[in-house]
Amino acid sequence: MELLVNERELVVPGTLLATGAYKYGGGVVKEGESYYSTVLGLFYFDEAKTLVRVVPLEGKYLPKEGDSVVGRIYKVLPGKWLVDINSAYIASLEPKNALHDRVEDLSRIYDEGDMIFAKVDSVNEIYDATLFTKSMPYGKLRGGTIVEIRSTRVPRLIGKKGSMIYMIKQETKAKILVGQNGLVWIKGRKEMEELIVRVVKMIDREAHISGLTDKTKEFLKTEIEKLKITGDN
Amino acid sequence: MERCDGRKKDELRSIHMEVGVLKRADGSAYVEWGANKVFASVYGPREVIPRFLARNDRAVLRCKYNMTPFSVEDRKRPGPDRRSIEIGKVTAGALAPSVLLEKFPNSMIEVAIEIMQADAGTRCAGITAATLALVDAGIPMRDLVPACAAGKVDGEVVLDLCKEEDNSGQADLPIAMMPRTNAVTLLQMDGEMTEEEVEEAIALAQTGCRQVYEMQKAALVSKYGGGDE
Repeated sequence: MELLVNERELVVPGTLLATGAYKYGGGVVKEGESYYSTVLGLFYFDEAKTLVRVVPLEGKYLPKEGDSVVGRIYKVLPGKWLVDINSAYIASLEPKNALHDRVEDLSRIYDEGDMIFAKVDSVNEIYDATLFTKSMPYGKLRGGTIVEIRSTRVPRLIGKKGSMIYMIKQETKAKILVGQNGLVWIKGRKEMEELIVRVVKMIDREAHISGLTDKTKEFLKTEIEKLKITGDN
Repeated sequence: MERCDGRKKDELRSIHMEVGVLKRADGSAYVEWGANKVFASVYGPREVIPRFLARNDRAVLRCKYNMTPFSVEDRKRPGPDRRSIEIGKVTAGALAPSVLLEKFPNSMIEVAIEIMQADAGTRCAGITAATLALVDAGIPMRDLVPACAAGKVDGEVVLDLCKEEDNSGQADLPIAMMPRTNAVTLLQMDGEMTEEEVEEAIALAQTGCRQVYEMQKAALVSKYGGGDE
């Protein structure tokens, strides 16, 4: 049993990570007694050093049960909505997962092009996902701005136990909903929305750098100061 | 023996690689290999169009190889032709063994290789760039796939033919491989060589692939400024 790569080290597909008997998570293939990376990402192992995995830096979103996602209504069919969730696969939303009452015309609730915030209710082996919007905070997104980031960088935007996103909300007093699929909905004062878009894009770009929360906080504080000064004039 | 550009018999041309050069594509790469200039882009995994190509146990990998009209000496008539369809097909064959297609059932991964300037060995440069673009798109792969050619010029086996050598030479043998397992995923040849020369050319091309492999790794790592800081 031997780990051949340091924790948080950048690895490319085909890098030999470890040999011996390990459990392995995403981004890793096992061939014989050797474990290889399959993606460009950062190498992680657990505290007991029994599980190895690679967290990818790039890649499309794959729906997972329980995730919250921001989606766009792609088509209204007679019995359900088809929703573009920024993934390789189209998700569907059935009226029983969206409404309490019967409605004849589904497009009166969500029409094509509407943005919604939804929970992934179930996913099968071939990634056919069904969504759920029946309770708060799920439902239609009115107004605001949508930013797209790489879905692999979403954990960084949220931070450990939500530290990063909580800090941004505190500093800016804006409403922010983060979809695991890489779409972020922001609603607040216009100049604040623009500032948050810049911050979110910065986090997307620099997700692999450590100490990002402090850097972001400082950046936000100075930018908000600037806004206050120009606002007074 | 003196080669036309002064290289040693087992020396590659100068190669420059860049990852993530196109904004719109999910993944992209640019490779300059001698005077070859090649862009590769990857879209996907996404919905399969046309629908009947879909496989419910794996993704479909489609590769398109195209030469721009200004890439060669006499203007090339735009559009697909016999040669570019063939290279698209062998490129897909060279990459497919490495890509974990079974991770994305019912979807399609599209690779497009665009030759901006050609100077012999474009399929090798194309496969090399396409691999980088696939990795940049976050598509899981067993290993990187470098490619490199060897050939016979003036009766001698040499690595990585340039245009003049390709025109005057007796044979050209491009190879793509997965260096980790030594699996060869592309092997073509035109021209004439003896059995021993073929063996020698394959071995030589493989050493070339290994050099390209190291450059691919370096190009990927450099996109992230050397990783953890």
